[in-house]
Amino acid sequence: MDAILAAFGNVFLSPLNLGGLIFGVAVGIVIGALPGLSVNMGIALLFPLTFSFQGIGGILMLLGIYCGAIYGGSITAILLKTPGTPASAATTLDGYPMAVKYGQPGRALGLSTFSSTFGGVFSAICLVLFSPMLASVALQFSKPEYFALAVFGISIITSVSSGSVLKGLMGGLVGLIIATIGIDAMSGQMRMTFGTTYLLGGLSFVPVLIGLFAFSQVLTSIEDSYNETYVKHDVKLKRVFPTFADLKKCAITILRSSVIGTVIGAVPGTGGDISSFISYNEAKRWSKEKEKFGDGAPEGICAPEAGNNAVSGGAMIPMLTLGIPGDGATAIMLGALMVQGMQPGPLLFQNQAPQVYTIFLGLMTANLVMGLLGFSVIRLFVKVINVPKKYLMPIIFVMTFVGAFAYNNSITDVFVMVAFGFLGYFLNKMEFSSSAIVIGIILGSLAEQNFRGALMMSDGSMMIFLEHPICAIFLLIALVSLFAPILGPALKKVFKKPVKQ
Amino acid sequence: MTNMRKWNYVIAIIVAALGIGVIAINSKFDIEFGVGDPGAGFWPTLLGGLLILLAILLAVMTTKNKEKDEAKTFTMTLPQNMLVYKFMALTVGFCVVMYIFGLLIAALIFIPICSYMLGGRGKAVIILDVVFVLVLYLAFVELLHTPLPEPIWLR
Repeated sequence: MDAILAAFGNVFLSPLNLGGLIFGVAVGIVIGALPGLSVNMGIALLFPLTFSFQGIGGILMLLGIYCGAIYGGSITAILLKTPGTPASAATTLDGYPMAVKYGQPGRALGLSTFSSTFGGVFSAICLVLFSPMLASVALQFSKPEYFALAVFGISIITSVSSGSVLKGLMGGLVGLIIATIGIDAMSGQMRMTFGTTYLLGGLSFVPVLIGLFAFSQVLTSIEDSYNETYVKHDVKLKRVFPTFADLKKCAITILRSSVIGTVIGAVPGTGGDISSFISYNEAKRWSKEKEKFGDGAPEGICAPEAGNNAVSGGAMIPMLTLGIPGDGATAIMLGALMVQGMQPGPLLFQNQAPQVYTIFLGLMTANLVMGLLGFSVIRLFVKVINVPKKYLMPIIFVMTFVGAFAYNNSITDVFVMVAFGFLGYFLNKMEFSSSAIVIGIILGSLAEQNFRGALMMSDGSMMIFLEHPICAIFLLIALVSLFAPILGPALKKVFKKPVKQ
Repeated sequence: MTNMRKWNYVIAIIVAALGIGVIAINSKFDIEFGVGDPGAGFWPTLLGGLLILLAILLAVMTTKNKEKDEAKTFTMTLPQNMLVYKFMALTVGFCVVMYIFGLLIAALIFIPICSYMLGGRGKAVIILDVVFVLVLYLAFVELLHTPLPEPIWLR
């Protein structure tokens, strides 16, 4: 009870924390609404701002950015047929026809706002209900189980690597190798420091993150803006709150999509894009008016929006209870929690209960604030779609330098950020995944320390990983997850039935 | 090089070299089996070995899927790529100026240049530049007490 009261105080009684959360939601919506800026970029870019907040305040702001950016992507998806984030791609199918063909942009945005809010709040409630249960089970874990969990977390690399699984795995390994730089926690020996004091504590996570997600994105946006002609969009919105008839028609779809989004979010490696398309397909499959989908059907807007925002709470379940990121954005959030002195995992619920309940309450509040802002100042957010890249990119460019420096007040961090920004640009072009590298860096030390700790427990016998049933199951799932994308197509070829002539 | 196939071979060579490098650097550390902690060198050596294995796998898969990878066109010399390279050069310049004169002065100089490269012209760019640098100073230095890179003579 004390933890809940403390959480209430952290969120509502601290003007700085509440202000940071509202600011985060607003900035998140703007970032989501700007095509070319992703959720990951938004979190990476504003992550250093959180250092100025005492304690949990910075995390609340990041939660706001996370929720706001997922929702913000729907604004351009509906008005310009250009999803601000991949998670909003399915919204374009019915959102754009409703807004342009039938001249009802307000109705489309209202449905999207309501569904996003409902999906987000629903998933936050699921997070409150299910994560303590999972954490209490995970409390039984010892070093072998933690090692298996880390390997399981690393195995989601295959899911976040959309271009090439092999290159995703390579990126993950590079991340794991980066995590070994610095003083070895178990023997005290210096590994790969090359005689510099800068690398003694390891390569700083924050500049790498900003470089890979924000700076490289600036370079990609510059490339995309080549010869791009600026078109000003004049959008007139009338009523934005959905009518009772629309809500009644979409109620079941919104609820179903919220469940789908939460479940998919809780599965590591999946994300808002997968959830929104599955929600859309299910809405169409269950609908009595299938022919209206793709031509401005209200359920076609509600389903993907409830589905993608419901991912936020779902993805937090494995992140908080097991320390495994659900997707790229939660990988960054996981890093943010660690920088703020929190160690996500089952012990978090025991050792830092007030902070955990603050995150629960913060996520729920962020979703409600998102709905409030969406309905009240949507006209203002719509204006950001007209911000030209020639003004926006230089500002983001400078902000990446501010962020990289703010972490340690180190110029070397800035140079590291630039180096990883350049690297990230080329890696993205060559089908590597930046998320895979980040996941490797985050889970690297957890995997190594628990691997070596487990071997010390067993006097060097590898059998310890098979003797612990939970550990063995996690390792098996991780192996299947890692090799299925590579071996799956090969097995398909082998067992393919011969075509009858 | 205009297709992914050739680049994949280059990537495989670089990754294999990286793997060998990691193993070589960590070879000075002990690796022991069956006596508890396998040592500081075990984990990096294992990762280096896996990198080499994946590099070989990439080369083999690229050879097997010749047509698929050749169909993926990939160029790094288009005008839009050149714009990015110019921007990278500008970034290096920004780093040097920032190191000597601090972030605020560097931003004041470079925002108009960046904007110009992206097609920004006129007074609006200058106004945006000055307003942004002012907001940056007030928000970070005065309000949030977050230090920004200072000029070399103030450090």
